[in-house]
Amino acid sequence: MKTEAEIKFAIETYGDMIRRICFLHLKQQADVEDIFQNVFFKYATKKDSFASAEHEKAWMIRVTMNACHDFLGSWYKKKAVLTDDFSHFQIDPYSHQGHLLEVVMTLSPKYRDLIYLHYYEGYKIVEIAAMLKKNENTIHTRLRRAKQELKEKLGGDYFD
Amino acid sequence: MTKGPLEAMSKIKAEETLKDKTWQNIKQRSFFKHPILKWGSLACIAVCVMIVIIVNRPVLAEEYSYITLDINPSLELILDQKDNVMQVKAYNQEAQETLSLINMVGLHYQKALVKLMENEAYQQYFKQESLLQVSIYSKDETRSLEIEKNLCDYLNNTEMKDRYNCHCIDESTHKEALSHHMSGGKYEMIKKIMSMDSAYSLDELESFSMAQLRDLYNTLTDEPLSSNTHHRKHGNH
Repeated sequence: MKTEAEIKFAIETYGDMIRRICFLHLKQQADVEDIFQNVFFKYATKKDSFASAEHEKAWMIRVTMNACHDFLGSWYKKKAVLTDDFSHFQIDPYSHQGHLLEVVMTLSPKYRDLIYLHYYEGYKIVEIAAMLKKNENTIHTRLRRAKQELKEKLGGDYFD
Repeated sequence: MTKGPLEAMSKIKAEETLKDKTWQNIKQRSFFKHPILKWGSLACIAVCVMIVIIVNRPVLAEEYSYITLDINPSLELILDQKDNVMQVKAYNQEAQETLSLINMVGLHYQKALVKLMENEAYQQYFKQESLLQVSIYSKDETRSLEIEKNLCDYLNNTEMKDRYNCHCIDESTHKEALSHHMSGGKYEMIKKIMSMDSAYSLDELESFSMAQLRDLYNTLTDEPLSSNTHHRKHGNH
């Protein structure tokens, strides 16, 4: 069991990141709370220590993504555009950035995760593959398809 | 660093209320954080488990009925009140070898018997001259009779239908057999032989197979023991 200081530090350090991942997948605030609390409870009760801060962060990301995917299961709806949630965070859906995010939210959950990890968190393909315990080629292919789908939906070249 | 299409996500932050709720939730769920609470609750659980075991034990663990089978392997099925096999005892080497191949514990005695009789290794003892001696003792006489009937109904449809002897024994025979580490059926047969010819001793006859004991008995009596008998015999002969 981690100490109070360790747990609170982790909540401050990773809270925003986990909230963003939840934003990508979940609709209801109650669901976000559940996932958020479960992830940090798992962290608090995790017996093994982390080799490094990067290892700890990767663990947080993987646990959160798995929790979101498990939660949604077969009832998941592909289009999860939430203008209400956008306004909660003061994101203008009609702005360029807001529109981009809106389109990302129309991708499948796995593609969303990859776009988030690659572009927002800055992970390389080899790092994403290790984190998600997938084959590097699989990640490469999925990311390429995700970018292709984004390009098609956006109707232009926005990325490298 | 550019966030690509996700620049807008920089505005997404974990709400302070969410963080506070999370911390409170972890505190509540971390019940075992405190050693006193941890060991105290474990002690309570242990006490509850022991109470359940003590309360239920007489029903679950009591030996209630006994079925002995002698053909050359000499073994005994010990049943609980629900007629399920609690334990199987081997009284000779052949039985031990048989039991190493067949697990009957937990089965209803009828299923256990089928499993035994259909086992290839056990079937090797079904020779032409073999005799399967089955004896039953139960704390409830009605149960004894019921078990005897069921076993006979089954055996009458097997390869051994003309070469078995099945009957109930009484408590004293059962206990004496137990004291000599012998199955009830075999002990009863030996006692009959010894009563007819005192030259024979228990130690000597113990090593005989059931077929040999039957043949010996038949030479000593005017009423040879026929196969496929399932009469009820009680009392101490």
